Amino acid sequence: MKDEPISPQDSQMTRWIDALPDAPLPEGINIDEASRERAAAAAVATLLRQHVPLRQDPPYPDFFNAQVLKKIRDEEALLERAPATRQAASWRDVLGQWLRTPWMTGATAAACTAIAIFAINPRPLDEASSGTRVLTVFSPEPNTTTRVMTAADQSAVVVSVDGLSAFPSDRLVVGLHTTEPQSLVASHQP
Amino acid sequence: MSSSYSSPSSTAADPDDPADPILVERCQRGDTAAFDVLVTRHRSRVYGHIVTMVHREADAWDLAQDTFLKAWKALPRFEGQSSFSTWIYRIAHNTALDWLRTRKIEGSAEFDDTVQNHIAAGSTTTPHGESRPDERLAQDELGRRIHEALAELSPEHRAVILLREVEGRAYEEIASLLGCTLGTVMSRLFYARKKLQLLLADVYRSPDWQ
Amino acid sequence: MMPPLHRHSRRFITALCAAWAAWTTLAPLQAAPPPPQLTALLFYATDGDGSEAPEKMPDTSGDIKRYEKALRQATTARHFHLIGKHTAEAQARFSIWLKPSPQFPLQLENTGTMPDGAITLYWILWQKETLPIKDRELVKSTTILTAKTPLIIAGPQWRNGRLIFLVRKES
Repeated sequence: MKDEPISPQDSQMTRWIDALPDAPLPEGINIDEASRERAAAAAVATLLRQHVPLRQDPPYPDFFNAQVLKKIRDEEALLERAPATRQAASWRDVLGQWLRTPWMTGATAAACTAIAIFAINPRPLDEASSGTRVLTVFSPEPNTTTRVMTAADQSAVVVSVDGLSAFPSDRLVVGLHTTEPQSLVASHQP
Repeated sequence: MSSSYSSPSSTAADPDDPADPILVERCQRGDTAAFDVLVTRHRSRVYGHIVTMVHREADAWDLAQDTFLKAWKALPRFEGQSSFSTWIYRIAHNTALDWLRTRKIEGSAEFDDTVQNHIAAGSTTTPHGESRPDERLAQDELGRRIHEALAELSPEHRAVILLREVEGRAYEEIASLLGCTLGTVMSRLFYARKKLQLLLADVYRSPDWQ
Repeated sequence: MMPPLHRHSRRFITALCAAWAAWTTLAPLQAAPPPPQLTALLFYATDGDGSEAPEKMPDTSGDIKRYEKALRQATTARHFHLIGKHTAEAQARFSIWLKPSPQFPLQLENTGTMPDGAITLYWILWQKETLPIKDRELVKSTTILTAKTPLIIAGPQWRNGRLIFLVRKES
């Protein structure tokens, strides 16, 4: 964001409004006008203090803490899952040094190349071996509960949102349409 | 889960209520229970700041979560040059600011403006006491006006005016928290005040107010 | 018997092999992977014939049969009708909005790709009203979505049945 410049007089006026000890009233400013300005600023400040809470606990504060700690555990578990990438970097360094040695023969280089292709290429961890995981699920609605289940045949992870008010029968559900690239859109009005 | 609360700037030597630097040290050794206490101690300020920045409780909840997660990850590099309270506040502020910027970009790429975010201004954010229904309605209306006026400000201007007028921070503190110069703080404060005075003139000039 | 390789020739072959090894190692890193593709399906689960769901789609890919057991985890309904299907690119940090109705969208946001190729999906099921303006988040979640296992979100009741989303990451 580009900030608008402020004149020295406005800057001094701002300090005067805040009653800072080193801020006399700027020269050329009428005291009545300045006092009105100060009163208006004070009124706005009072309104803000009355209606904007300085501190506010999040809804479900205990759940809030529990979720933070859960996310920390999940993140740490993920980091443990992917040590291969870090290892690959150090192997690459070792390989580089080895390839630069003068005694390296063509045959050794070829063998090393084969190793490089099969062992060093940073293969992604096998996505197919791990399943979908619901890290957090939260419903702010009262009387609503969520259940997370894995299908018996492991074909899907199911989040069932129970206790929701029924979607009104007079509203039309039109499926998902395919016209927009960024949206799975049903822009039709009921 | 601990539910006790003490001042964020707690320096007490009470072993049951250790000061922030002690808890930070424990966290740096991987003690998540110590972090739990820090979260409890600072969450209301973090969440309170974010909710006034983004105006949406549900998103504020997620952003406050992100703030603490980022703090946990960065704790090994935290050297205590500022207090934990200032540090976490800065993370919260930047997290909210980044989110607002992302939303701005997404908003322009949005296909359908019926799904633009609407500000549920002043709705259920502030707990109300047992006031008469007519008084409560007036308070709700006033709250809505104030939150709408704040939403008219840029996030940067909003942050400065809230830090100054609601939290009573000094210019130097604001500059340090937001990572900008004193001149920038004064400029933002000057223009934010002007705009709010304009938007709320009928409210504070009304004989009913105060 | 082959003569021993000249010192310079050996260095040349070594350098050549090293260059090849480096290229085959680094080339896959340089090509930016395309954004992952998400396919979304919308099912209507009911005990009836589904006539109240106006736009049934032909289930040419056999999705109902494929996910029937999983869908039964969420509902006791006897019949499943496919009423919507679409595939889109899930670009990082952009939202995809699934809108069976403007008042009932599902927001999907790809918030990042995991080292194993799975994506971190942040999703919110909304209820939106325009008169008066009111947006309510019915449920929200962060889910790691892999190509192996789709995510099913069993939403609200509608008419005589229930609306169920399925989100699948294409491999």
